[in-house]
Amino acid sequence: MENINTTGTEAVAAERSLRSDMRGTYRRRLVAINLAHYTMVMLLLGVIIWTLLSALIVPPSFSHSTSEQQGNMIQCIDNIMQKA
Amino acid sequence: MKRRLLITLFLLIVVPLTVGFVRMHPRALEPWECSELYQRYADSPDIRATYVKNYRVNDTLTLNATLLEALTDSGWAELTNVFNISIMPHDQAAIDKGYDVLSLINNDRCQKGLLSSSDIAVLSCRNKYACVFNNVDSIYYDKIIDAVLSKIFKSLNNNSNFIQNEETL
Repeated sequence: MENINTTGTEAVAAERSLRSDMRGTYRRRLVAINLAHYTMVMLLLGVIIWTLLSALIVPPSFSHSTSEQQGNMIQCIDNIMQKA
Repeated sequence: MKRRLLITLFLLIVVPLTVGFVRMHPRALEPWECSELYQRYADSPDIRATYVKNYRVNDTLTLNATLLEALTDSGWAELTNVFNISIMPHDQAAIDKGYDVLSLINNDRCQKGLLSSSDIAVLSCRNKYACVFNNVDSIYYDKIIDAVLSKIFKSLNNNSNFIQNEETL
């Protein structure tokens, strides 16, 4: 009777230990996934903020012209506005 | 959870690619979006017109400008006529020696209706072009005039050195 009780107690302890291990593994996996997710969300937020900020800076647009004309134009403005 | 990760990853790739494409894609302005001066000379065989919108000179200064390049003598005659510029013999001598003669023109000085009160034009007699800064904000008007004048004085200084040298010889 004593033997059976001991075996039963050990089995319960082993099962508890196994469950605890599994819970630990599951928790670690959950933490890793959450961390990856939040890192990506933060990166995405950064990209969105960068997009909004860069929208404030409008790139130059030219009339229908060749690259030579555009080059002349930029050179001419830069040459005149050196001191601005 | 996996689906959320995939959506985030997808957005992370798609958003920068879209933004990059839109921003890097060159945009050509239609003629009606350009200045009146550009529209006036866009089809001229003697004058080559180019217009730029939102050109960043530095962190504080962004300009719209029209460049009119004279391709022939008659084109240059047209530019000097409309901008009311006369080239003096000593200017011509300086130009022949490779110096530049610049002129700063506002709407009072040139042909009526050519420039508005917020436009400034700079004429280069050596390179035979007129660069017109369109719709300049009053904040930057003086800044541009200062920059152009300092350039003109620099060229005047070079020219006067040249004239003095000519007279000494």
